[in-house]
Amino acid sequence: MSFNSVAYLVFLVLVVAAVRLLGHRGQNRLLLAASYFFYAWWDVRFLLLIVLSSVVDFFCALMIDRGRVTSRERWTCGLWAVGAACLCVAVDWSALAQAGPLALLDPGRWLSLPFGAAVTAAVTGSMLLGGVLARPGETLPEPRRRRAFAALSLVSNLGLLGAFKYFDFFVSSAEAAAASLGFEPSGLRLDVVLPVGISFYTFQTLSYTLDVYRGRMRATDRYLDLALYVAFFPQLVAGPIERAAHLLPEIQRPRRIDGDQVVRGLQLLLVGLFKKVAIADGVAVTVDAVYGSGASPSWLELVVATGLFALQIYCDFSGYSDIARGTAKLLGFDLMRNFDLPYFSRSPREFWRRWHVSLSTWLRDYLYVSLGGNRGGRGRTLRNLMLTMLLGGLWHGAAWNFVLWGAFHGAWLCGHRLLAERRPPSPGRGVAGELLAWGACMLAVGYGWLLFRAESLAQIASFSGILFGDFGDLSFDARLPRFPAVAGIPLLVALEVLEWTRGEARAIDRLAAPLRGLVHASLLFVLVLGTSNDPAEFIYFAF
Amino acid sequence: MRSELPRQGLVRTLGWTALALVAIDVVLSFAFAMPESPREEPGLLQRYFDNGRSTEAKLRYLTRPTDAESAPILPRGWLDAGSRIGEPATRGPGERVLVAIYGMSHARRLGRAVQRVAPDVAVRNVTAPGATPNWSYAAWESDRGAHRADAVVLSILSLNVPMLAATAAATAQVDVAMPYTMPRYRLEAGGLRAVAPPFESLAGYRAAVREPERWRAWRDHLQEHDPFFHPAVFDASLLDHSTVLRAVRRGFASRLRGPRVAEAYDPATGFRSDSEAIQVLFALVRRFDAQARADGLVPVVYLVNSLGTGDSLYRVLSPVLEAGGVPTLSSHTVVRPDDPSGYLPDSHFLDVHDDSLARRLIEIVDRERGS
Repeated sequence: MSFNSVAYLVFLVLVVAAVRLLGHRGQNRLLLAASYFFYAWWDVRFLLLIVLSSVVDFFCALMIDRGRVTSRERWTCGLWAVGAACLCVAVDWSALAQAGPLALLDPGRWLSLPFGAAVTAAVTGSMLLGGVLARPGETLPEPRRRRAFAALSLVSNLGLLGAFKYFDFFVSSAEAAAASLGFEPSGLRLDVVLPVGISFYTFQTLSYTLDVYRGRMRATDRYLDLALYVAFFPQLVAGPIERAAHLLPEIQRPRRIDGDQVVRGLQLLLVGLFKKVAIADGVAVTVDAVYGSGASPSWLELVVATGLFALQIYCDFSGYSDIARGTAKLLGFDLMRNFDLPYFSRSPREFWRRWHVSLSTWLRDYLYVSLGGNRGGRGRTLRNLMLTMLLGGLWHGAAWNFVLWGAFHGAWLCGHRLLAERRPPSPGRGVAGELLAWGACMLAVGYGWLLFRAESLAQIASFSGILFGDFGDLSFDARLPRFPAVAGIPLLVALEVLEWTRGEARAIDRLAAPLRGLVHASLLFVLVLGTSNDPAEFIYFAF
Repeated sequence: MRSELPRQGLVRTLGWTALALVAIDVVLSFAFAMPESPREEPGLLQRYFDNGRSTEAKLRYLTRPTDAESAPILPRGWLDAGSRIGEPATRGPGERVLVAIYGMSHARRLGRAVQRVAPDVAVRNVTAPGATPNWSYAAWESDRGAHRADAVVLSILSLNVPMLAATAAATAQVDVAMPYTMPRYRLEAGGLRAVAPPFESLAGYRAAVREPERWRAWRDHLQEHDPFFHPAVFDASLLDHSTVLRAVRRGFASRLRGPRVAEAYDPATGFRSDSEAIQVLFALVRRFDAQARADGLVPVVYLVNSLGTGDSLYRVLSPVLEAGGVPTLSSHTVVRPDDPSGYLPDSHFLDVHDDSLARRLIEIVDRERGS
């Protein structure tokens, strides 16, 4: 279910209305059911992965923290995993829906055999084995036990991510490398669909066990709370990647919704939809015409398309985050701010403090710091920075252009760090210096987006050649952005400049009520105009 | 959870927002009102903000008591003989071949290009703006026997193929309402069945505009036979008076259209050969080929690949075309469908490409006539 669909609007109204009728625990159960329904709307089979991830991390965190799992907790884990295997994989829901209720009498028509049965048997076996293994785990010395179960969580979560997202990529890359050496390997391929949001919920759930392992928080003994933390629908498929230390307490304590939260929630929904529907989808035609075409664009077309892609990906992704935060607010939750005016940055460090904050802080806390951070001298710091950015690039997608994008940002960060070390501290750069730094930063960010958006390494080579070597060609034949985007971009810029100059995220709220009403009405109007754009899926769903 | 709604702040915010929205609506409605006369060309923004007006209101705006007062587009595209007046029916002196071309504006441009590159080839252009393949086929059928052409060209525009089941230009193209109509073709018992619209002439349409009974009959026909018809998009209502609500309707119409188009065409994989539109298209092409040959004419199918649709139209049709040995001219052999530099801003081909296509068409016709 996509945030920019009518189905989501109906779903949201129903969930918000139902939540208001229930007590705290009832709300949590309803939100978990709603989150699973939200995810199953795409593909019910992959819901099993979310349940398995929750079960494994619930179990591992308890073993890390307490060193034991009660039989009740063990049964809870087992029943959820086996139940999910039965309902998500063993039952062929599409066949059942087509055949009608009478088909229930004929299981042969709706049971997915032998695949569903095999998965259910494997899950059941794993749960039994997990139960058996818990006993010796309980007798291990504490440091070993904590390490063992943290490793189990890491291996299972990254194993799922690796299998579904990266396996085919690495196999095909290895095949290509072997072929270039004259070998003809016949590779094994899984050929599986990438489950929506797997990169996001894997990182989110991993942060829970790692925080418990590092002693930053206690493991929860309420499975439903953890399951809701992993699957909370507003941020399930494209973040923000919430930390358990932040979101779990919100789940565990009764929530309160006041008028201010509703206003803020609706405002975030409006801004998010405006960014996505009016701007991101409106400029997509120009970007796709240049990057999706086999033809060679002119220099001007390439520059315009890349600039518009910078806008598209920002509006697409930050729009999603705004909608997620707005939805959460209507349900009484506060999610973290994922984008903090990134295009006002003047250096790569600042850019990464402002762009996809939940991922950059995740990578910093769990990868960069784990690699040693800046504790081992300049060489090691630069190596850690480079590795973090390379893996951050790969997180975005199983393709070499993402690796290249990560490498580019890594190299830029390293270069900036080295320069900053050599430059004597100065009191300020002045307006011209700030503008120059901003311009240079945006040019580098823009080139990074070229690497990110390119459809192949060959296109990167060809487009880089045009960008750096073909200034003379100012012809422009590409499609122009849609009118809602043209009307919406100045509005967006004005809002962001207002936020920037006032230095606060809720700058709109400081405006006089009539002016605020005019801003809301303008956003709403341009959003309505944008509904006639060709609707596109959120870009980050592919990650 | 304790509820503290409705709060004053919320009500005030919503109130000011609603008021500002009304103000925007009023200002835009005055600033970008359509010209009084449909013969006056509206500006880009006037046209844009008017786009969500209901089909009925748009058609009534275009249609005035006399042709002189009505929009110039009104007489275009009618399938009766009246719309072909002035088109040559026989070769003139010094002309060696007459080619009749049926289709949309691309077809008209091809006809003009033929006249540019080969003055000894006469062209009978039977075209309608934005014509769908069912219109092109119906135009060919209704024109049979009305001319002595040597070759006939059936034009198919890839973008319009998903709209093959539309029975009126006004439902096939929502943004630019045009009144002409066409039959719907259905596959029944292995053959094609045509369902004719209640009127196929400008006179018939004018009668429907005048008489509510006839209008209702047309609307009922659309509701029954046209999958692109939706009452919320077609029927005039109070929504027509508000710029904001028109924009809502435009968005709704666009969302409504998406799934219908997706039944026949997927941008990632191309046309779906098992869709109803493509199956009917196969049958239309086969029948066109058989009829033309039976009439002693050279049949040519002209495939116009719109920007961004690749050669998917050619790929889906080529098994049928090759099996029947149907002479084919596909634009992708001349203009790359993924290269915007081959297209004009209004989505037509550059003249130089139309000229190349015209030369190829003449080659095909000469080759087929000689064989």
